[in-house]
Amino acid sequence: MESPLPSPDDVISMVLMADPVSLSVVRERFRRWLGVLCWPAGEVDDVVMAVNEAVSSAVEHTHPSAIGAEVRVAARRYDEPDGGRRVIVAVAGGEHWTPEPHGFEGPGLLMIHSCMDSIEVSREADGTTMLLTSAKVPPLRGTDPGQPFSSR
Amino acid sequence: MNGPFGGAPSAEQLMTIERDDRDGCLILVVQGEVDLSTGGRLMEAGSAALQESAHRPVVLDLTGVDFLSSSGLGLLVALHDDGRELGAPLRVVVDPTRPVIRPIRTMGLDEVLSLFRTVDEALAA
Repeated sequence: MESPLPSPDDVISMVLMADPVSLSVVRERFRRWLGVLCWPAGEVDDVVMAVNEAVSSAVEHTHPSAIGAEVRVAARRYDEPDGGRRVIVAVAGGEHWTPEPHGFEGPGLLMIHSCMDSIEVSREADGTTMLLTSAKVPPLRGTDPGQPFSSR
Repeated sequence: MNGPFGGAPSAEQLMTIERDDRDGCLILVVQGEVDLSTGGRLMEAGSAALQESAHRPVVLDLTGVDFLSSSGLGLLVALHDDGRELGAPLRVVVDPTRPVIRPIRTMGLDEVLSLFRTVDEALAA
């Protein structure tokens, strides 16, 4: 019997410098992680694209004087009741992620919408957070496709 | 690999651009990943090629590109527009089986850019 506890592979998190060089790092981390989770290749590209755009926005809109500013990224894999799998990704910029007059929009946001099922942006005094939910992918073959009662 | 950027590859490693000249046409062969960190270099190389091409097409070979962000798409459109202004058409070569075509289609840029499957097709057009 598999343990019902979430496996350490279900979660990743990282703190990145608010600098364009961080983008290839976050793309590589997500590619590796989704590879471990046996995510389908096309959906890996979608998640990587969306995360890249969200982190790009955080990097681009971090105030240039904010030396040492960071972007925090965390993601979790979870199962739907029907056994389908998704990842949810949070991208958070600190207080130096300057708000834009018309909010976060433009090609980056369009791209995220095309790659993910939903996106939520929340702005607080101490920063902006984007929450991205991936498309649902099929359960892994050979595993129980969901149980009627959660053991948690 | 523990530099100030925690082992991130340098922008030079992430994307390379080689210039080639065939039948009097400038070809830029791009390999790697086009994002916020590398796009500036591609924009510079593309602009320079368009300026120098003397009204001949410039071919941008992206078949070796593994990743193209929305910022990369923005610069493709900017180069395309510059090319029209200069009378040096930009011809973009994309492998239709690789991930790069997808963001191009998502943003509807397959209707805007002049896309080709191979460098030979782009040169013959």
